[in-house]
Parts: sequence; structure tokens; C-alpha cells
Amino acid sequence: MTVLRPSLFMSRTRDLLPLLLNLPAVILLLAFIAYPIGISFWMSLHRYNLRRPDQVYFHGLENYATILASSEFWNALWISLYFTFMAVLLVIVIAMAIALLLHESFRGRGVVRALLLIPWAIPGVVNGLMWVGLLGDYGAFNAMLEDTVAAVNYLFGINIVYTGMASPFVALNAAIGAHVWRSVPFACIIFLAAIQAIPTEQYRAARVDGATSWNRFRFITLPWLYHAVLVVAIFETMNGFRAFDLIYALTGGGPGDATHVIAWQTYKEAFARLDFGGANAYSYLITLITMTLAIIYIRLLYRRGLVQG
Amino acid sequence: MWRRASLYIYALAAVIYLTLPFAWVAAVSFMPEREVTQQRWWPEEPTIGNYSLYFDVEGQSADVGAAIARQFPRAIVNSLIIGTAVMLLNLTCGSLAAYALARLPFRGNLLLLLFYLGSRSVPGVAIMIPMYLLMRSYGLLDTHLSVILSHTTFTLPFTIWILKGYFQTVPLDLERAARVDGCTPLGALVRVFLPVTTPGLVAVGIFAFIASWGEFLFALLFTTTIASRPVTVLASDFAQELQVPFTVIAAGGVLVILLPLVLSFLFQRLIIQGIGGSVTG
Repeated sequence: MTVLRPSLFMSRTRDLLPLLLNLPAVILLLAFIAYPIGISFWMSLHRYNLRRPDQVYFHGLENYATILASSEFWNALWISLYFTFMAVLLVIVIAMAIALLLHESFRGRGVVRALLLIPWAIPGVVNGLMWVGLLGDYGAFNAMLEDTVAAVNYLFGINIVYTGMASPFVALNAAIGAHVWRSVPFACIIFLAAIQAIPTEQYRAARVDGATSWNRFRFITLPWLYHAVLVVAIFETMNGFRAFDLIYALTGGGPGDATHVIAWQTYKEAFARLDFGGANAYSYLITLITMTLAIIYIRLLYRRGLVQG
Repeated sequence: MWRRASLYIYALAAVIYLTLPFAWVAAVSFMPEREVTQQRWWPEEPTIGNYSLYFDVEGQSADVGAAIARQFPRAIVNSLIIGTAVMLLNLTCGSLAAYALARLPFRGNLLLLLFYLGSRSVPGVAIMIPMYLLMRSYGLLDTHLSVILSHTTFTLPFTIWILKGYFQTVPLDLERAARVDGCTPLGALVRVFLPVTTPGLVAVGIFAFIASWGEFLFALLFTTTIASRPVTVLASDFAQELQVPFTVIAAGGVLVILLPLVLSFLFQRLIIQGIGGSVTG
């Protein structure tokens, strides 16, 4: 990748024009992202419950202290971390597998590539509703899971009781599975583009040297895909932390608090308890976590010299 | 020979993974209610009864879920209005910013890039309360505009990122020629650059539209009546009502998915190139 530095456009308007071109985007983002973030911080330092609008006052970091001392927050944070970690891992593995397949030439490849966009086109809420059906009492996947558990019980002479979505373990992992299913296509397209950019001479040379297909993947494909894997990891980490619509439709946070991801917890804090002060402290903590992760990723990208200014 | 065979088995597994969940839901949407309880994979006696609830605008049916289904056409129109506006705003603001970042060297471009990346990493829940209060204080709650503005802000950084990568792949000679012929930088953008980059712009536009069509959190918070509620929010009502038969929900799901699905098939090549180009470009 080369950085374009056209000397052609050097003129007196050098700095002014590009800034003007960026102005509309910057104004929108300042007004609807930066400003709310600021307000959010300010509100997080206040006692502000809509049920008691007469009692709004500044009380410093007390909301944060309350949250950090509450088991609900740590529970939600761990669930979100587990959710995100599993989602990133599974998305990368499955998307890579499909991308490698699509890179091979075989009859019907075009069809597979077209079908790839199906999960991507489905809105999160509808995806959630879909999996409610798939995993519900009469759902196709529920039947499969029941049969699998029965087979395992029979084979190993054990007695696992399968309770479907009423089980916290099944509910959380089903939510992850549904989230991953919808996220795979995007990652897959990024991987496919990156694979196609690898010079074919390298493979030819490796084949002449007698490298096995695993070694070709390990020493040629993977290093070339480093950048793409990081980009996917960034997107999927953010998507994992903000998973909300799927949870809303699929589990509603339940059973119990098994799928109380941090986005859901924040939503409940704000619009069920109407504690705007506390909810803003919550959202600020989420922002800090995702920002920190984003900075780590971006630094990794820069260290490899793969992002240019 | 074995290699070929295993490749096709591999491909079949991928197709099953990608399509089976949706295929089952689509099949259920044509089943009478009792067939679902028999755990069928294919409707024995296919019916369009589940869909007719959605086009029963006069509102005669008293079935569970019919009240939600009846509002679907209105909600789809709302989603269309919001999605189109979001697409247009993304294209205008996005292409101007991306052009400057890709082509014109200036002080502070790195800062801007980080600003865009940073604003993309802000989760929706983090700003939902101030956004809600902001929209309330401007009297924008329950209007299309509130949803349009919020959808534009969260799609725009991504649009800029993709377009910047895409723009950098266009050979510089094109603009050089235009500049030699006496075009201003802005003239070069409009006359030379935009026509060449149409595929990227279409991809990004479709992208923003589909993202807006599927967004849920802000749409849920800002809209309260059918005057502005988009179809995803309406569909989520099914998750709150417990007695709606899944056959009816499945039909609604298919209706919501139909447009993004058709768009992504039609513009398949452009979308795949657009997303891919953002990384390799």
C-alpha cells in the first residue's frame, strides 16, 4: 500500500478545502456523538432519577462507586466479555473457513457467494425472533439439540436433562450462536478480499519447494491476512459489546440474568428503573471499555504500519 | 477425485449453515399453525393465511397478533423513508470527507481519521440517554428526522472509512488530467472522480440503507406511534406478546427481510467489492 501525496493540489487553499469537505460529517458527529458523550459524563456525576425529578443534584463519583460495588455490573461485564470473546473467535474461524472455500474454484461458487449475504441482510431483531422459533419448543434446532443430548446420554450412559432455552447455559450460547451466524458474512467478505490480494507466485514457489497445504496456509496465507483479521476483530469486538437487539428479541435478558449483557443492563437501568444518572455511569464505563479495546487494536495496526494517515 | 468430492461436501456444509435457519423460517411462514407443532421441515398443505393478516388493512381479523400485523404496511413505508434519507446523507457527507482524506494532504488529517474511527467505536447504549433528551428537547421524538439523524451518525464513520479506501484505488492520473484541463479540485471530484467511483458509492449507499433498515435501539427509543415507527420496532412487539403463533411471526419476519435480501442479491458484486476494497485498498 502506498500513500498518495499529490503535490498537484498544493495551493493556498491547501488546508482550508479539505477541512471544508469534512465539515458536514464533523458537525453531524460532533452534535450527535461527541456532544452526547460529554453530556452523558456530566449526567453520570449527578443523582438523576426520572421518578424524582425534584431531586437532581451533583454527587460526584457516587454513581460509579455504586455500580462498581454492585454484583449486577460484574455479572453483566463477565457475560459481555464471554459473549464477545466467543463471538470474535467463532466469527473469525467460521468466516475464514468459508472464505478459503470461496477462494477455490468449483462449480456453484457464485451461488454460495450469493447465499453468503442472507444472514447479513437480516436485521438483528428479526434474527432474534427467528431463533426464538428455531430454538422454541417446536423449533427445528431445538429438535436437533434434543436428539443430540439424547444420543450423548445413551452413548455415555449419563443423564443430562435438556431444558432448552430455560437453561442459562443454552440460552447464553444460543444467543452467541445466533449473533455469530449473522456476523459471519461481513467478516468472510473481508477475508476473501484479503486472500485474493495474495500474489499467486508465492503459492507456486511454495509448491515447488514441496510445502504441504497446511504449511502454505500457515506461512503464506495467515501472515497476509494479519491486517484483515485485526480489522474483523475490531468490528466484532464492538459488535459484541453492543449486542442489544438480538438479546431484546431472543431472550429478554433471561432466563434469570443469564443473558444480561452490558448493553441490556444499561437499557434496563435507564428505561425500566428510570435512573438516568446511574445508567449514564454505566454507559460511560462501556464506552471506556470499548475505547480501550479500540485503541489497543489500532496501535497493533499502526505497529505493523498497515494504516496510513 | 477425492479432493473434488471433499470440496463439494465442504461447500454443501457452508450452504446448509448459511441458509438453513432462514429456510426453515420461510417454510414455516407457509404452514398452517398445527403443522409447526408436528416439527415439519416442509409445509404439507401450504397456505398464505399467515401473510393475509399483514395486508388486512381494514382490520377485521381478531386473531392474536393481527393488531400488530395490520400496521406493517405503514411501518414499511416509514422504514423506506428513513433508509433513503440516511443513504443520501451518507453519500453526500461521506464522499466529500473521504475525498479529502484520500486525496488532499492537509494538516490534521490523521486527527480526523482517528476522530471518525473513535466515533465509530462509541456504542449506541452509551449515548442513548443524552440523544433521547436531545431529541425530546427539540420536539423531534416520534418523527422520522430523529431516527434519520441518529442512523446517519452511526453509519457515517464506516461510510467514510470504506470510501477513503476505495478512493485511494483510483489512479491519480485521472484527476491530474482533469486538473491540467483546468478543473478545480471540487470540479475534479464531481466530473472525474464520482463517475469512476460509482460502484463504491452504490455499495456504500446500499450498505447504509440496509444498516438503517435493521437498526433497532434508537428507533425503539425515539418512536412511539405508527406515524414514525419503522418495521423492525413493530416486529419486536411480537417478542412482547406471548400468544402470537410462530407461523404469523415467521411471515412478518420474511416481510421485513424481503427488501434487504433483494437489494443484497441485486448488488451482490458491488457490496462484496465495496467491503473487500475497504481493507485491501
